[in-house]
Amino acid sequence: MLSAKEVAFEVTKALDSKKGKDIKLLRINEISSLADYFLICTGTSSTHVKTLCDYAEYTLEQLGEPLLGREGHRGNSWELLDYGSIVVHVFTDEARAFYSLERLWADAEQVDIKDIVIEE
Amino acid sequence: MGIIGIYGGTFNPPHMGHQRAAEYAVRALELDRLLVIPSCISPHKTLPEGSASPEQRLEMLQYAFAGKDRITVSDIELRRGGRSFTYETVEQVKALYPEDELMLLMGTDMFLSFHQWRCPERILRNAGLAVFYRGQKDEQQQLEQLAQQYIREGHKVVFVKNPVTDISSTQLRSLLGYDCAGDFLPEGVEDYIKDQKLYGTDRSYENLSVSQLEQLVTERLSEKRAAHVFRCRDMALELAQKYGQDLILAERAALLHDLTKPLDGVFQQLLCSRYGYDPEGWEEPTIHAYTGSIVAKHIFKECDQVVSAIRWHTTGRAGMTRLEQIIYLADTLEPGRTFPGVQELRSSAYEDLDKAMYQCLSRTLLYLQQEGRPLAGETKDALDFFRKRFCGKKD
Repeated sequence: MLSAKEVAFEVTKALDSKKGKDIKLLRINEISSLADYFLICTGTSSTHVKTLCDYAEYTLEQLGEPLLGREGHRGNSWELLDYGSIVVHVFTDEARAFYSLERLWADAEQVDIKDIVIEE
Repeated sequence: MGIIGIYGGTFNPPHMGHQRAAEYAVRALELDRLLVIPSCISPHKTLPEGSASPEQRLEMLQYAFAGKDRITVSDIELRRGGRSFTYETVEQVKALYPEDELMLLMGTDMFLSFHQWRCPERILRNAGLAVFYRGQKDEQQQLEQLAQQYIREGHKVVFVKNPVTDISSTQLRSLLGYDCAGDFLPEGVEDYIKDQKLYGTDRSYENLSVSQLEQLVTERLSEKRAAHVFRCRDMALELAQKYGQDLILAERAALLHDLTKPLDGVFQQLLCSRYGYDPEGWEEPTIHAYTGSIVAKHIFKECDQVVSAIRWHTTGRAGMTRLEQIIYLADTLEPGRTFPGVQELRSSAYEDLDKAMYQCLSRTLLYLQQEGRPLAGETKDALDFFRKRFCGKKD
């Protein structure tokens, strides 16, 4: 059984390997009961968003992590994967700016993922 | 133990109706606190293009409820993200206020479809329902029957008579384009909307291209009505072609003629007074011709011929120009119309405009007499005018 943090890192690596852009990991367990982590990522197109989510789902399935729910919206401009302790949000550029999730969670701690993500 | 109310919605934009409903709810339900919760993504509808972002809707709500005692605007659904299902919100609120009683506010439509929501039992486990109704007789019976079912299962359902008139956000967004929304928006919200260039307030409506007019028709009117307008336009072009009238003007008048039709009576009146016109004497079914022409003139800056063609398309008048007649007839006789005798009238229209006008007006007179409704002064004059014209021709 992986810890929430380990799950978060695994998904981060998965998204990064499929060229997910601008990945951010927010730790929210101190300010919300919703989840422990929010992982936010951008896909270059709605197809890419879907690919990223498919691969994240596959990766976690291999690790035996149960998916609680997957939801897409508006032609896949925003998809989310709910793993209970971590919720993964994948947006297109436009949708990410429009919904400004990060701004809403500005009080959360940004977890350092420099070692996991290949900076471009 | 206190009582916490939950008032959700898209608030696109928040308006006086929301403000009044919220304040009334606090008093009627004796709430210690009312949480106004804008949805991130509405689970049951898609917001139209040019709508405010969730954060902008939150900011407008903050203006709307600034300094209001016991009312708090909450970003709980925005933070959660994704589609905002009420059951999740209720559970989250319950976790925040475990000692308090929760009441979920809703209108009658929502109550009647409550069983179709996602996980309604998870809502009922944590909250009572406060249903706001308008007080129409049959509505009340239906509501009470449904409520009994829930009450029998041990849930709390209360009814609150809502004295506030409904304001349609859809119409309000149109009114913003007509610069008439001020009266219905809370302090600070109208400025915010203009500042953020929301709901097309930064657009100019002058000199729009035909395809822009078509888009406006599709956006502002229901599917049925938009289809009518497009058929009207096609017939108007045919008639204009046949009778040597300006095709461009005919097309513009046809596209714009029903633009203000969806607006409720109170908004029609407001449009009139906003631009200095007297709505006196106009009936509900026909006033849209008046307001349509006002908007055509002041907002779209159309030329006089287009403005007058819109102005007279419901009543007709003596001394109608050919263009006015064409729009009147295209509206009444377009291919989607199926009233008895329409075929004959249509052939008249392609034969002789005066004849068609005379026949249509005669038919209108007959119809209104049967319904016991008054004939507008202009329509009577128009009938006399065309009787002379047409019968004169026959001799």
